[in-house]
Amino acid sequence: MPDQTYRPDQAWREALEFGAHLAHSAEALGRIRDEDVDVGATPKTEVMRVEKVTLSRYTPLEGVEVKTGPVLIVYGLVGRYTMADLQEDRSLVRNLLRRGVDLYVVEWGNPTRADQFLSMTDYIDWFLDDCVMRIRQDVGVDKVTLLGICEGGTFSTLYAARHAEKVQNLILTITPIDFHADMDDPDVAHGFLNVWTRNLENRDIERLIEAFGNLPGEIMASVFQMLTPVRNLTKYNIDLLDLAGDDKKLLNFLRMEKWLADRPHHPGAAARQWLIDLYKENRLVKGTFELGGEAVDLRRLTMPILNVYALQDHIIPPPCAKALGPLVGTEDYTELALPGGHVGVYVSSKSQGIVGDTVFDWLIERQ
Amino acid sequence: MSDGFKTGNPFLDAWSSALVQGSEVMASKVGGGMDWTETMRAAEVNWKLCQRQAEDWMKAAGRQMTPAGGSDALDGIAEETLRRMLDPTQFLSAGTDEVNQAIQRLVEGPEFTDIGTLERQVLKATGEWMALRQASAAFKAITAAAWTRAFATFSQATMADHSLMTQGPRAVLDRWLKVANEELIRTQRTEAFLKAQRNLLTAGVDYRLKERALVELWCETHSIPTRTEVDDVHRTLHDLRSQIRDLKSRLAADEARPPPAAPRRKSATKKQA
Repeated sequence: MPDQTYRPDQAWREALEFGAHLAHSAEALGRIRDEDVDVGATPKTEVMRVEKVTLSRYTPLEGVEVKTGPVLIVYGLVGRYTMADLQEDRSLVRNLLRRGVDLYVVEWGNPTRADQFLSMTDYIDWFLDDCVMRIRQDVGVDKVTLLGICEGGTFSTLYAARHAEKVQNLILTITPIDFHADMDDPDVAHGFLNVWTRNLENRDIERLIEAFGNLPGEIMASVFQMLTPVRNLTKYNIDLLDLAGDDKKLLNFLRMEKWLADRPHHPGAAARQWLIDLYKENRLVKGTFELGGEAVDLRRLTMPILNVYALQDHIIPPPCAKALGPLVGTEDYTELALPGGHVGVYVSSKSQGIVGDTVFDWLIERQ
Repeated sequence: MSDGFKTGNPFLDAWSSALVQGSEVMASKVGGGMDWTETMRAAEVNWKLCQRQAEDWMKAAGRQMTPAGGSDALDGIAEETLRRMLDPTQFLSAGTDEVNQAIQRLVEGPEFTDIGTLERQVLKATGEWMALRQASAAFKAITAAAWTRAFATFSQATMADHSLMTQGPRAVLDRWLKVANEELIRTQRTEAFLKAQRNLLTAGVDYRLKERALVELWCETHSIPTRTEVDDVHRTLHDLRSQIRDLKSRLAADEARPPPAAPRRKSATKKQA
């Protein structure tokens, strides 16, 4: 039987390897400039600007014929749309452009305290509607397909329910609909964001927003960090050192860090609705969530719907996303469950082809 | 054999010490059951390599000490990542203390010299400041207890599984991280943790609002617009924009509507009648 005792010289060797990795990582980090860590780099042209909100159209890839009607990517106010275009070889944007999708994106900008009174009604009935109207006018179509991501998926759902006549198809990815369905998720590591928000009194949220005007990006970033406690403990040493000597992987790591660090403030009025009306009181599935003084009725979602969720999503637990199915008014409802976590839908090598192919194939059948 | 190297970074210094201790252990084996001569010779070569690595690291890390704006100054996310990689406090706070730190940063903000110094001093004597410190301490006590429980679980697990120690440091580390992660996630869902974190958040907000009230008092005294007044202006502006938007929508809807049919002209005879 071989001797399996771990000898001191092996420990010594491992320590040396650790040192070598540390030195390599430090050297590489010292060499990399911020402009090298480019995210959201796929070329696009701004077509409209309303205050801090911009609508851009992606440039079709050379030699690729546009085969679909316009599709508008809608991200939320928590974070940045660049998750869908993190790097060239891991980009839903590029995957869709490569297949011939006519792609637009709305960027919400960097809200400041001056924007604290912007509500979800403003974002949906004002900014998002302006974007849809502009695309309709530019392309000469009556309807636009919405591709919503996370909170942007909820925004897209609300828009489609209120303006169904302007929406061709609704594609949702990792989108919360039933904000209390985390209690049905058997994985204890899922849904801490839901637990954390429900633990607060409405008054706590009101005062937090009163104190800062908005929901500070720093608070949201710190809560997200808590969702994976040990990952935060290891990523700057063990994980980072494991990448030593591989500049490509190190740049990928830094791109993700850049995206994670980019947490804009969430305008106060919209944050109240997001945290109190939706996360705490779960009004959307109860049919009591109001925009512009009217209750949003999910049965008005009569357009084709593709709902993509991640099976190991600890931020939006799968039951929170899957809850949409029985509530909509369309018979053309499709679900796609992907292995992996929240961000993995966009950046994991496994999901790259699956998401792009599924979205495109589904879309092309519904033009 | 050297005494090791001192980098000024506690984490790396500890690593250096561990290497030295490791070499001493190996040295003590010489003349025992195994012949460690070759190992020790290799160790000498390796140690020199190790020192070179440390020098390389110092060179790279030294760049971040370069004054901002210098030609070698680091920037952006790479600099932030390097800082975190070399910061030993990451090991003490990561995983549980992010909200605590975010609240402290948000409520305290940058302290510029001379600006509002007196007010800040007054503020730090208030009940809100004390409550914030207490809430922070109570929260840390709960997370510290979680780490202690994780270590107890890990100790039991390693004692029960003798094979683990033969698999090398990485296997031991992976086991420890798994145990710690499970314990921290479990703790985050306990009533005690959630209550402590809520108390911390509300204490931070109370302090911030108290600070604002104090600053607004100072502003009013010096005829400077207060935050509340600026917020009022923003609210008015938002309301006006909403009204303009509604008016534009109505106007556009009116323009899009087909013109009403011309009323039928009544016959002259009837009019005369």
